[in-house]
Amino acid sequence: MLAVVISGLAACKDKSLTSYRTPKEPETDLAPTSDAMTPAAAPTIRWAVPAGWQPQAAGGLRLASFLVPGANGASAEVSIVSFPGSGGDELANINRWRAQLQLAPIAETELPGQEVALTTGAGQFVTADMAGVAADKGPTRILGAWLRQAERVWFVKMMGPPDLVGTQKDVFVAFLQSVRMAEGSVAALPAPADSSGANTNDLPRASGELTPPLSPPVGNPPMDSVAVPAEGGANLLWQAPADWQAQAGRPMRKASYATGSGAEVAITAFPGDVGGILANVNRWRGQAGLGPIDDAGLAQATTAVESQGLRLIVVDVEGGSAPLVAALVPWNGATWFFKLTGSAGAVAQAKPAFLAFLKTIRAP
Amino acid sequence: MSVAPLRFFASLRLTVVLLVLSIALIFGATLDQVHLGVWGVQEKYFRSFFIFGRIPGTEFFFPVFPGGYLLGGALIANLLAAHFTRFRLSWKKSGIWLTHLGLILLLIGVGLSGLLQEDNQMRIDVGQTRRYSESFRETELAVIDTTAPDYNQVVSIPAAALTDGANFQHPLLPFIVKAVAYYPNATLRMRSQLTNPPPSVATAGEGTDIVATPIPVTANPDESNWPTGFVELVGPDGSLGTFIISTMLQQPEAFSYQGRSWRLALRAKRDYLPFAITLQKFTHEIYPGTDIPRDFASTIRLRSDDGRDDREIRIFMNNPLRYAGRAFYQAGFANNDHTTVLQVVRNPSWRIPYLSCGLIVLGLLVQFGIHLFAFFRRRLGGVPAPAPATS
Repeated sequence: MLAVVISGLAACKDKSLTSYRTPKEPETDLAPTSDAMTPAAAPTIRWAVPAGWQPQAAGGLRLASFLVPGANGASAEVSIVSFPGSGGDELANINRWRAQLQLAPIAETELPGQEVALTTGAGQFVTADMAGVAADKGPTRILGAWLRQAERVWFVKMMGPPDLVGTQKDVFVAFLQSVRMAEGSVAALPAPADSSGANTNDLPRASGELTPPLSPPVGNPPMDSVAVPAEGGANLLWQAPADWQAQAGRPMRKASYATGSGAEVAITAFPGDVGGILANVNRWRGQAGLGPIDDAGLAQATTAVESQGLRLIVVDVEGGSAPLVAALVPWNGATWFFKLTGSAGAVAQAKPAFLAFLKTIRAP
Repeated sequence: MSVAPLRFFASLRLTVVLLVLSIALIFGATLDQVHLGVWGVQEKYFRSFFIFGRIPGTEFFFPVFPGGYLLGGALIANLLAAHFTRFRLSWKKSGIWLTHLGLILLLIGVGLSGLLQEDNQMRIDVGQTRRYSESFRETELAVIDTTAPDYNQVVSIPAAALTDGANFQHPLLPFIVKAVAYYPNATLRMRSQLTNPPPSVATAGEGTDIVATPIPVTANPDESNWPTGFVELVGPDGSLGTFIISTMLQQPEAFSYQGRSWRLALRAKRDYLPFAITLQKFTHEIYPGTDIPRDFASTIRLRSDDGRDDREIRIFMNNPLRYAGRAFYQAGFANNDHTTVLQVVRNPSWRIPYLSCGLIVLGLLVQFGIHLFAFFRRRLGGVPAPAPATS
């Protein structure tokens, strides 16, 4: 009897209609914007709209659409679509677009020639360029790109007449370069001096509140120190080379950059001496698969770089499985670490710029 | 009650059998957690009277094992019956009575929590104000009248009720909501991205451009289910169209009917609060050189609708905010420390475990105290202690 009553109560609680009145909410807050049922929140994406692209109605899965007008009434369409998950593998994405252009699917072995990686401030896009014949549109060219994040994949696609898409290719790439995720790195981006020739797109945040407009990056403005402000303390300042791209912020990082050669520069700071110079050098050697050294070896393994009143200890870990150039400097009760990592070629290529970069580091 | 059934329920053997069955239940549930996830296991094994199995190849279900409610209820009955038959009300046994009362209360409290507790979460960005929490697991179809300039009128249909063909009427809705299809998990693709897309189920709104494909429900805590469905709205003049509803859609479906503006959104079930919470600051400290959090804390401003409260509160690990019948725990963070995640627990019976543990402790203290007192009395009174047994 008790069982029946309890089951009945539970059933009523689960299946009854309810009504309630809420204060007025922004339109975007009515949909499941906060990802309450997802493991992690979807980041908000932002971009700078190139001149001439006309925003179209968005909705459903489509975050935004643009019409790109060309000569003689021709037009191409740009769409930005977001899916949770990984969004399929590279081959599936390429072959899906090829199918839209009535091209035969390619095999995995043919993939390397079909896709190009593009490093942007939001992460690494994979891009593809293909031309064929669309079912109801005649000759058509697709410029496609996708960006994977932990929980979500973003697709950006331009589709239209081959001539028009060809003339827009540089604009499309510039558009991808302008994409930013509304996370720590966005706030850290410097405001460019010039925003002429383009307007700014800024999608509403989950709350519907608009974040401050992000002006489009023009060229590669030099990046003065844009470290995330630490609580209760000032930050070191530095000047990053022009071809370094600021990366999305990570909890432990003061800043991250992707160098032009594909290596990564990570800047971190921790309170105290973090074990001292020898312990850190040996930690880095360990990461490269090399054995530890002692105090005697330390003098040979490290060099000192003077930078505007700061004395940085620089170590170049060569000959191991993971090449690494790193520098540390104690300052203001904390130890700051600057680390260049990546493939052997990428690190070797980026090393001169990294060493020059170390000399730009200064106290505020 | 006749003596024979009472004796059966009071049996110590029954206690042992029930405890063994409980151990087996917990063991089985732990193994099945791989398939069902932690919530699924709780519903199937602990918040049920029986665990049902299906005869292979049929849709016929039959009970295979007692569930948590049945075992817990039987343990309570066992304890009560033991008191009626074996225990006698006396001062000497008062500690045991108190301890058992605490145990019974604990079992009742667990049952009530299972029935009444609601677990929600709030995700708030720094600077953002939220006035609702969202369910972890339950989904609702919100039919929202947005016509009024200063408020939205919401009719909430639980997604669990959206079985194919179900009709929903409500005095605030000028149309019937008819469930055409509902998938607990689905993937969505733009129609233009598919080579040979199936015919569209939706006839209005964004759904005409979208293809929804049902996929198996996942229990992996690192993956999400994306409930999706199609509903037809039918007014006195006929159908308004069939719309797609999905938690994956980032904009609600919008339409006008009889001069009023409507929105349709499938979303995590919301619990609107009689107060607003603004996240002023989020701090996240880690142990140096690691990713291990040492402390994370949310500084919030709470403003009640009646104007009585407007204060700043710091919520951090093991230090929740208790307000308006809810407890707000610091549960996590996201978005590069820009977003805090608070777990919101609403459990009217949350005091029962504290009370029952207090009773158990008090009962044990009383019982041991009585024995200790008797021991000292014997010593001081010169009464010899019982001689140790010799073999």
